[in-house]
Amino acid sequence: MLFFILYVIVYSVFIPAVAGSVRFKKHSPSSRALFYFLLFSGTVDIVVLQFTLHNINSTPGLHFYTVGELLSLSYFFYQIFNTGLKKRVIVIVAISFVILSIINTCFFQSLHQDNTYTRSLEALILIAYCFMYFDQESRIRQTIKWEKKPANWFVTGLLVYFAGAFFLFLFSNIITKLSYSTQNILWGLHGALQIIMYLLITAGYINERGK
Amino acid sequence: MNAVSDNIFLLVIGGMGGAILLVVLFIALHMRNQNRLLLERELMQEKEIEHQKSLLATVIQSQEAERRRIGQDLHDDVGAALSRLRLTVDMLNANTITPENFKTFSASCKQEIDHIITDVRHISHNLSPPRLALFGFNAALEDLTDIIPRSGIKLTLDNSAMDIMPNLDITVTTALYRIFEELVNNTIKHAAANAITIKLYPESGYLIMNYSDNGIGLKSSGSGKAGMGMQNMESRLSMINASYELGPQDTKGFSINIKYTLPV
Repeated sequence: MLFFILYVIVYSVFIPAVAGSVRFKKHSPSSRALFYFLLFSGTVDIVVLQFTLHNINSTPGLHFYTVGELLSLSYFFYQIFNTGLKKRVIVIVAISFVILSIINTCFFQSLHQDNTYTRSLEALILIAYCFMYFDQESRIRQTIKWEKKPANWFVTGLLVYFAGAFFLFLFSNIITKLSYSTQNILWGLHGALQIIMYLLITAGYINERGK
Repeated sequence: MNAVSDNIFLLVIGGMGGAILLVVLFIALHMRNQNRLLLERELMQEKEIEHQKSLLATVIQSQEAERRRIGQDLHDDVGAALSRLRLTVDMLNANTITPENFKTFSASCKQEIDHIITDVRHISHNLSPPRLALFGFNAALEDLTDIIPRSGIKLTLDNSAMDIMPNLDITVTTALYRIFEELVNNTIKHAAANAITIKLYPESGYLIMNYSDNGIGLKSSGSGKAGMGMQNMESRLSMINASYELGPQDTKGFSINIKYTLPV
């Protein structure tokens, strides 16, 4: 289980990253934005893995990672949304989230504990963006099948991950008080969700190449 | 502490499982719905293309039928009259010609030539009614109302759009005239009717044309499938961006409402 959590999950980011790097310049702006998120997420995961292997506490990094993850995924949704209003909402929410994260770290959850409030809020925001995307898709006249549209796979991957992991983020400070084996099971499940997300994103990139 | 740990574990697992289940269901429904909509639209487009193809085929068939009819008219009437004229000329013998014979010959030739002129006039009028081009739709329609009663059908024309018709493009008036001609033909041929009513009137930016007869109706007269005449009419209407609506088919008589958007 430890091997799975430490290595398989962390390096699984290479699957979508490799798929996304092929003919990168020909990808749509949203696909490229998601690739930047993968780069960011993958780099942070590998750095955190090194910290863990050298017994260095990486919890403070999670506070910054949460902000970075929201900003990079906000950029992805910014590229995908088709109205100025939605784009403005993304910018306002992103700025507000950064301010809230600073307030949370300064006054509520210090750098040495998990930022459960902002991490859960981030998941909720991204879940809302995913639903906004599907709402947008329902309103426009489709010309290709659902499974042929790369963005559908990307957003499905994000929705599965953030909706599935929401409760885990919410209770992560309490989970640290559980037994080591229970924690491993839960973080293993989190890792499985992450791999599912990466695989769905890979499916999107493969579809984009086929176009 | 142990009991609390188990509960939290179950709560988190339950929450994760529930959320994933909801997401999967949502995605499956969304995917099915979008693909169904796409399929429906594709089928509709296919039907539309089929319909357009059938209209085009009808236009081509009508053209061919019209050519055959013109050919037949030329052969049977003009051709026969010219043959008779030739025979008359052949019969004239230069050795036995007398002033009396020549007078008869000349009268016979003139008669045949007049016959040919009338035939040619009929054919050309049939091809393109001169009154429509010279005096417009109203006059051509009036002509039609003069001709129809000869077939024993009473025709009532109520034209409240007389002022509008001269302003319409000749393409539009020709199409409308042809449609009325087709409708009248259908009534004479298939409806066993003794009365036709034609109403034309403007109504909030549209020209409404109502045609009805008191015949056996559409349901009793055909197989239910649109005939060539109807398809022809449909293609003419689509050409001028007009729409039509058939009256109730389960009752006796036939009626059709044609709606044409008047240019601003």
